Amino acid sequence: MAHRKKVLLKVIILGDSGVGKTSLMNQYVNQKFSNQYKATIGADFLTKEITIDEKLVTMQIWDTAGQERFQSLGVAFYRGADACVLVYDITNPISFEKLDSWRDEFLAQAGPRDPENFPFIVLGNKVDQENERRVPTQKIELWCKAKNAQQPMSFFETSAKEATGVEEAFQTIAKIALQKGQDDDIFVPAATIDLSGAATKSSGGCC
Amino acid sequence: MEQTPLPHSAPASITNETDVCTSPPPGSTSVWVQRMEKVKNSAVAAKKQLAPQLQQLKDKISSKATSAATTGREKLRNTSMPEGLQPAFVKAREGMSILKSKLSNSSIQVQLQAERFQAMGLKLVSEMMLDSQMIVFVDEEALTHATVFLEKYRHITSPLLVKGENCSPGMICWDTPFILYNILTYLGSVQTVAQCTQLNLSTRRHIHAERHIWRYCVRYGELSPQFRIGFWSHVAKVDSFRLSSELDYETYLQMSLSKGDWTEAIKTDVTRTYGRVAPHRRSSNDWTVSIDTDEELQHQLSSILHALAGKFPDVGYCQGMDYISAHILEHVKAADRKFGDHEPVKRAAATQVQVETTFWILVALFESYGLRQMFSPGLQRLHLHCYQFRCLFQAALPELYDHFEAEHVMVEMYIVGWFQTLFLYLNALPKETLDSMWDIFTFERNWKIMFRVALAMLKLSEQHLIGKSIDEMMVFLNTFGDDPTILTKSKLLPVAFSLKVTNTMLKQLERDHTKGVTRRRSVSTQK
Repeated sequence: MAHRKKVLLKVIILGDSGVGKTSLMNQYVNQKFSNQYKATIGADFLTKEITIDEKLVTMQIWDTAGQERFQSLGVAFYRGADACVLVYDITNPISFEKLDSWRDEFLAQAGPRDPENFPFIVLGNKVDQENERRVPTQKIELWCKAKNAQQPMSFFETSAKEATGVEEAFQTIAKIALQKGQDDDIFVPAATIDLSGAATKSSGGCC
Repeated sequence: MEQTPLPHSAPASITNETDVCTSPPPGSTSVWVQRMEKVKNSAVAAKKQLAPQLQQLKDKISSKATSAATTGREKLRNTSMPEGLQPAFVKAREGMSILKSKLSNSSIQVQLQAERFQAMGLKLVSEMMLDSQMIVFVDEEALTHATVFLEKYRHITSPLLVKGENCSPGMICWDTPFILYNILTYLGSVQTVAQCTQLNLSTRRHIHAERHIWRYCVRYGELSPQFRIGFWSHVAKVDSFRLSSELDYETYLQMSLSKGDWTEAIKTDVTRTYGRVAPHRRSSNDWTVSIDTDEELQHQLSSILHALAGKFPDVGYCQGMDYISAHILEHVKAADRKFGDHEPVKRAAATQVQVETTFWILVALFESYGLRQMFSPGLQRLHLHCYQFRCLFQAALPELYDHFEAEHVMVEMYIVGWFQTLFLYLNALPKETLDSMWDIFTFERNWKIMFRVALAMLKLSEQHLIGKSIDEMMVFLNTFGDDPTILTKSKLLPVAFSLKVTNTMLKQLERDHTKGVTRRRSVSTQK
C-alpha cells in the first residue's frame, strides 16, 4: 500500500427513511447539523480526506434514499463499495428490524467478492433522544453477534445532532475497510493484483 | 390526448420556409395593398362597431349571472340550512363574488384587448406590405417555429372578403387566420389566446384549429402566475378526472387514514418537506436558517398525500410525491391569494378547496403523465427514463458521455433526483425556468421537455464538466455554482428545444428497454 499516494474508500450509508443518514454524513464531513433537510432522492456523496496510520485516505461517503422501493436503484450506487454503514433510529424499532433486509439487499446488489467478511458497521442514531429510546443496546449487540459469531460487526450509538460517536464510527469503518483491503492485497498473489478490486483504488476512482 | 402531427418536424424544411416568407409571391401584392386601403379607411368605423357588440356581450353575461345568483340565493333562503352546509354556503357566496369581479374585469379586458389588436393588426399588415417582411422576432428560434405554421395560412383569404363590403376590418382580421395568428404569435401570451377564443365563433374556430398557436405561446410566451393553476388544470383535463371519479377526495382520504399503511412514512417526510436545506447542496451559508415549520401547511400536505395513497393503493406513498404535491399546493395558494386575505371561516373553506384542487391536479398527473408508474414499487418508469436518457445522452453528446463513463458518473446519480421530482430537487433551478418547464410538460402531455432540459443542462455545462473528477462533477450537477446563468429560462430553454427528442425516439427506446428487461429476466430464471 505504501507506494500508493492516495487511497479511495467508497462507503455506503443505508437505513430506513428518516433515521438520519444525511445528518450523519453532514455531521461527519462538515461538522454541521440541520433539522431542515429534505428527504434524499436517489443518492449522492460527499468526500472527506483523513489520515489513518499515516496514510492519506479519501473517503467517498454515499448517502442514499431510505425508502425501500429505491433499493432497485442500488446496483448503480453500490458498485465498487468498500464498506457499508447500516443506520437505524433508536427511537424506532421498525428501522432496527429492517437492518437485515438492508444488509441482504446490499450484498445481493453490490456483489462483493467476500460477502461473509465484507466490512459493515451499525449505527444506532438519535441517542440525544434517550428518553424516547425503544431499541435497547443489548438488542443490537445480539444482532451483531448473530450475523457473525467470530467477528461480530462493530456498532456505535450516535447522535448526528450532538456529534456523539460520529467521528469514532467513521474512523472505525475506515480502518476496518482499509484493513480488509490490505488483507485482500496480501491474499491475492502479487502478480495478479487487481487494481479495480473491491478495496483500493487510485484517485479518480475506478470500480 | 394524441398530439397533432408536427409539420415542421423536419429541420431541413425550415430554411426553405423562411426564404419563402421574406419574399412574397408576385401578384399578391396588389391584392394586399387594396385590402390594406380598405382596412385603413374603416378603422375608426370598426372601433365604433365593436364597442356596442362588446357592451352587449357584457350586459348579457352580467344579467345572466345576476339572475343565476338570485335563483341561488332564493333557493338557499327557502331551505333551512344544516350545520354541515355552512362552509359550502360561505364558499358559494365567495365564489359568486369572485365570478362577478372576474366577469366585469374580463369584459373590460376583452374590449381593451380588441382595440389593441385592431391597432396592432393594422400596423402589422401595413408593415408587412411596406417591407415585404414578416414580423421581427427577437428570438430566431421562435421565429422559425412561428413562420413554419403561419406559412400554411398565408394564402387563405377571408371568406368575408368575398362576400362583400358590409364587414368591418376588425371582422376581417378575426376571420383571416393568417392575420389572426400573426397577431397572436406577436403577443405570444396564452392568456390572450384563451381570451380571443371567447371573442366570436370564427376566432374560436381558427384558434382551436391550430394547436401550434397554443404550443408556440406556451413555449415562447409568458404565463402570468395567477393563471398557471387554471392552465395546468385545463390542459391536464383535471375536471374530467374529478367528474368521472368513483369517490370523492374526502372518501379517499378517510380510506387511507383508516388503513394507516403510509401514515408513518408520510409523517416522516412531511415534517421535512418544508425544510429548506437540500441534502447535498454543499454550500456553507444555508446552515443557520431558522425553523418556520407551518404545521397547518404540513397537515394539508399530509392529507393530500394520504388521499393520493387512497386513490392509488398500488402506489401508496413514495418519496418525490411530497416535493411535487407541496409545489402544486404552493401554486394553488399563490393563485388564490390575489383575492385577498380571507376571514377565518372563509379561510377554512378556501383551504379545503385549495387542498382538493391540488389533489385532483395530482390525480391527472398520475393518470396521464406517467407519474403513477414513476412512483409505484419497482419504479419501472424511472428505470425506463434513466435508460432512455442514457441513450439520448450518448447520441447527443458523445464526448461528454465518454467522460462521464470514464469517471463512473452514472445517469442515475443525477437523473433520479431531477426526474423523480420533476426537477424540484434541483434547488439551483430558477423558479421561472421551472414554471415554464411545467407549463410545457402539462401542455405537451409527454416527457420530451424533461429529457430536453436535462440534456440541455449537460450540454451547457460541458466546459465545466470535461476533465473534472467525479467529485467535482457531482458538485457541479447539484449546484451549477460556477455558472448559474446556464439555468436561466432564456439560456436553457432555447438549447433544450434545439435538441432533437421525439416521441418516436422515446417509443423506440422504450421497446428496446422492455426487450432488454425481458431478456435479463429470462436469463436470470434460467440460472
